Amino acid sequence: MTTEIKVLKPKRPFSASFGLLVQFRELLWVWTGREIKGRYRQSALGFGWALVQPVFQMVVISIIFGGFLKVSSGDVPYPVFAYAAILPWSFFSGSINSAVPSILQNMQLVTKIYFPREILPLSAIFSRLVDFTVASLVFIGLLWWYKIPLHSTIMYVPFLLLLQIVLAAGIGLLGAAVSVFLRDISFAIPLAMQLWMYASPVIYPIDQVPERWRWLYMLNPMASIIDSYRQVILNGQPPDFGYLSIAIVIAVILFVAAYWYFKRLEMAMSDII
Amino acid sequence: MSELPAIHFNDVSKYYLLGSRRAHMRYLLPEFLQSKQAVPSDEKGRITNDHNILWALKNMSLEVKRGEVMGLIGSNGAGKTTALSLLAGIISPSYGEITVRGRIGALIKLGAGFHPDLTGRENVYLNGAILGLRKSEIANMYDDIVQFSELEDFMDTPVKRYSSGMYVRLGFAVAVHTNPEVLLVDEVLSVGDVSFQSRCLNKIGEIREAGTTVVFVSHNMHHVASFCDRVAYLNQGAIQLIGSPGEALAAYTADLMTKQENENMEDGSDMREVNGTGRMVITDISFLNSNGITVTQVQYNEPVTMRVSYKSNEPIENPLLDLVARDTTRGNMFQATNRDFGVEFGPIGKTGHIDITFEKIPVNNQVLNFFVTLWNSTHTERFDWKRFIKLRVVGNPASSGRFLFDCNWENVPESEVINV
Repeated sequence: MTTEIKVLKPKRPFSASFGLLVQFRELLWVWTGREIKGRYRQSALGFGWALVQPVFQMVVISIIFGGFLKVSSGDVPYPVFAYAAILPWSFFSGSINSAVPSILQNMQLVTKIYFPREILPLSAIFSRLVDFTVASLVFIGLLWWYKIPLHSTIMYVPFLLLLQIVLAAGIGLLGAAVSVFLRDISFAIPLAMQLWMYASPVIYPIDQVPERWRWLYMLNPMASIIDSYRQVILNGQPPDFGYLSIAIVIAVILFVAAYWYFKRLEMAMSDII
Repeated sequence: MSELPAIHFNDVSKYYLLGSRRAHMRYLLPEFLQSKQAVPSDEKGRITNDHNILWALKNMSLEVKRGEVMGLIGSNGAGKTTALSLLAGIISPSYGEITVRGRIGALIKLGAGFHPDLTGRENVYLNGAILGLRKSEIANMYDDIVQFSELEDFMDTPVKRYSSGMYVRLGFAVAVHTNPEVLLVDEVLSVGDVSFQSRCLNKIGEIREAGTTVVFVSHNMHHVASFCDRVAYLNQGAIQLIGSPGEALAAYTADLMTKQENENMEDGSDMREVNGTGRMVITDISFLNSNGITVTQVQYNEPVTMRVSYKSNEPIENPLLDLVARDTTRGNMFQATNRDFGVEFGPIGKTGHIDITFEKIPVNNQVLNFFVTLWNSTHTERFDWKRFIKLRVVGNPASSGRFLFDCNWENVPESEVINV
């Protein structure tokens, strides 16, 4: 019989974190399933809500910015142009908005039993993939309606998706850990996400940003990610790798740093009740 | 080869920063940015005293052998649950190191970490996943779990609608059926109905037989005495004694009674103070054992005499003595006058004493507070009243309950004895 030996010390080494997470992968899937089922439980529309929200946003934005304000959307019709950005943006902001409060919402579990706590924010993010998939169906319908051909560059989409998940995980882990000790974070995050949307090319194209400020603007990783989505899906162009590599570096560094900080705070979380 | 212990606490301390938001924000900063004072230390076993720091556990060292049932006893706040939470890995020690050999199943205070919005079924799977089991493994034991918890009709109900008893039943069922090598049990047996309790006890017995290591926390001394191989008595975060259940329980009950004695000290009676008209005064109250020696403590099954000394300068005909005995919860355990027992004292002397002899006082580890009142014969004039006269009655630490009836036990086979 093999006996697992556990040594509990004041600090757990960060290097062991990933192995532990792999060991608990079953929990990651179970919890993700719970998040998915739990979100729309007891609502009549169910997963319809995953559709309603981005579609209404797209309609309203199209009327105001595409219709009244005549924001340029290049060669593609404005609704498709807008929806191509609303889709990944909703996924991104939804991920963060559910990841940040995930620890606080489950304190009764955190104070009762041990499991790697990052499972909570990570499952929150993974569960948003379902909403993303549902909302994507509308996008496919839109592409067909406006007769926009499918380009082979669509192959880049999984990579862009992964990149934005890494970015969301970094911010989600950081926010989830800090909000246990500083509740203000829970209030600040929705506001920050709103502002961040205006700082990203969701309702306007990137070439509306003045040329000399472009470099600063592109330090926002979501700016190059959203622009890349439009490039590969609507225009059939490969993404701008120069700007995208900045986003990759920022996302990866942020994720590793946030994960390290999260694990450092992890054991103190159950001390706070 | 001597076997390694299943559980080893090596000089473990745990502190909590109390209360304020600023204290919580302290965790967010890296250590090198904090002032030296901010981090409590216990270098060389010294624990700093700081009112912002709660030491839940101080320099605890303990070894539990494989297959041993270790009991933890102590008052609330003694560190029992902290020790279990450390073992379960929910919190981490501030200093020292804990080694656990074997997979842990834990029941920490009412329920092993259930999510209120999930159904019973989902929680079983979730809990199994948390314990590191695969879905198929959980599916195999699912029926046993449901059967043991007797919650067949409630498995699709969210656990937030469960009663606390149902909650514990499911938690216990999951914890024991996942085949832990080390089982942590915290106060579960105080909940649930009688039939479930007896099944729990049987299950724990089975688990012990199977050689599982158990750490058992309970306020029920009877359970502790009957289950545990050894018991550690914790007081204010420190181990006072590790020993046989008898030794540990005796030390604990003795400390409890001392605490009870001290609790009412401020109400303690002053023999010089007269509470009444003072025409007849109680000058002293003492307890004597059967050898006539003054004592402050007796056994539950030995005779004891309460001697109430009095003095008076006037002739008083046939006074009444009213005697009340209360336990520390201040409930009356006994109240009577001599007349209730058909006794009249008649004329008194200038000085003298009244002896009240008890054949035995069958209470279990209690500090009794006696209240003695002297009245005139018609119960219309109170001469004197003395309060909080304490007597410690030692019972049997292994039994629980407030009373301890003196009894004989005998087995009488009515046919030939069955040989094993």
